[in-house]
Amino acid sequence: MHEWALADAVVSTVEEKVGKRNLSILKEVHIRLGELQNIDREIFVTGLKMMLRGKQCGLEVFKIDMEEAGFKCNYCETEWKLNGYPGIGEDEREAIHFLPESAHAYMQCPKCGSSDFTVAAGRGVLIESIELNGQEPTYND
Amino acid sequence: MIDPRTSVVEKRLKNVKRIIVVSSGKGGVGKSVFSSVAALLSAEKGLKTGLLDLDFQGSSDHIILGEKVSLPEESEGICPLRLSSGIDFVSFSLFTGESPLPLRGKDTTNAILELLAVTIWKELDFLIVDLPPGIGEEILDIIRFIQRKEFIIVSSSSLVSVQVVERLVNLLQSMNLPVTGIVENMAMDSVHHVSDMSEKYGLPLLGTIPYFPELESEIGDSKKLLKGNFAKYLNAVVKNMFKTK
Ligand SMILES: Nc1ncnc2c1ncn2[C@@H]1O[C@H](COP(=O)(O)OP(=O)(O)O)[C@@H](O)[C@H]1O
Ligand SMILES: [Mg+2]
Ligand SMILES: [Zn+2]
Repeated sequence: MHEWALADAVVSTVEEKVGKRNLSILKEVHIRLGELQNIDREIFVTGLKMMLRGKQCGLEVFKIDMEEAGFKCNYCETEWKLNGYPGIGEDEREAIHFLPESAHAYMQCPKCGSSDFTVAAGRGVLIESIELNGQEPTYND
Repeated sequence: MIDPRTSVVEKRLKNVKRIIVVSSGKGGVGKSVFSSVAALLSAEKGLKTGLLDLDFQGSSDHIILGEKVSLPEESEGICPLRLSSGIDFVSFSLFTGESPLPLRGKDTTNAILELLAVTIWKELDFLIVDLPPGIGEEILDIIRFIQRKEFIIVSSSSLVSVQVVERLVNLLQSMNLPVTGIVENMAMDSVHHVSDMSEKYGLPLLGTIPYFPELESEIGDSKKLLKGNFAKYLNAVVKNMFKTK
């Protein structure tokens, strides 16, 4: 259920971007959920719904895509996916769910065994873009 | 890409009256025993106390307090672990136990930001934040993400420590960040580098704690720690700390 804290973060960020204007100005908010954090999409959406209660914008504005997790070894440059990675136990999955960086304690490069790797894609919750009616979308960073 | 997490950090800490960041720049000067025992003393006085151990390479507050760590409960976020002493506790060790957690800079920032964004701190009089050594990623992230905070500087008496600690003091003052005071730990009577530094920078010396060989036998037992000499001396420091502001 800590999905709600993240949904809250998304809505707060959107409100910051919209500023003093009415939330009804939102056309589309594009969200990416990284596979590594294993966010329960339904709980996340329920969280969004909660956070939007009483605000002038509905769920339909939010477009949510999942992003596959990808890793790259900093030592031997091998790349791998989460899907097919063997043997992460339930507690370890839960730790990664709370704190995706825990992966560095529980995963190793499948080729050389190094724990020094980069989560190249699909880490956690990101806002890809916020699009306002009558304006170009903003992609920060 | 926009990172949504920065927008809620203040909200997560809104029920915390004072955020005290225990830092030094130098390792091995007693930041972690200071943070842990200060939290014990504060909780013993009936103050609502939180302890956040941000040293992911050497998280040790749970070892000092003798607490078994486990994955936290979740409600609308992550709930801090309630320790037997009444302290609300969060540490990287809740997630990774005693496993090594090798993180590069960007991962460190991500991990700290995640903890700050999803941990729901209840009403607290004090949140004590224990930092790792260095003037790196962690301290810069704390400066960036947490608006309301004050620093307590721990140094040992040696010039070797003071000389490094002074760089941190310089950094904090150049950024106009509030420093509540300096604590001299494992004090040697023969030198005065710490009091000289405190005068030079106009910072109060909150207290001087001697080296207590018996402290090691109190490590891992909160009750023993509270009764020991280290706590007795720290109590005076903590009293000063509670008085300021
Ligand atoms: N006043 C003291 N007397 C005796 N031992 C101390 C004292 N202060 C700290 N120590 C010991 O010194 C070591 C380093 O302390 P620690 O709190 O881990 O430092 P830091 O967090 O700054 O790296 C620990 O073993 C601790 O028990
Ligand atoms: Mg320490
Ligand atoms: Zn490798």
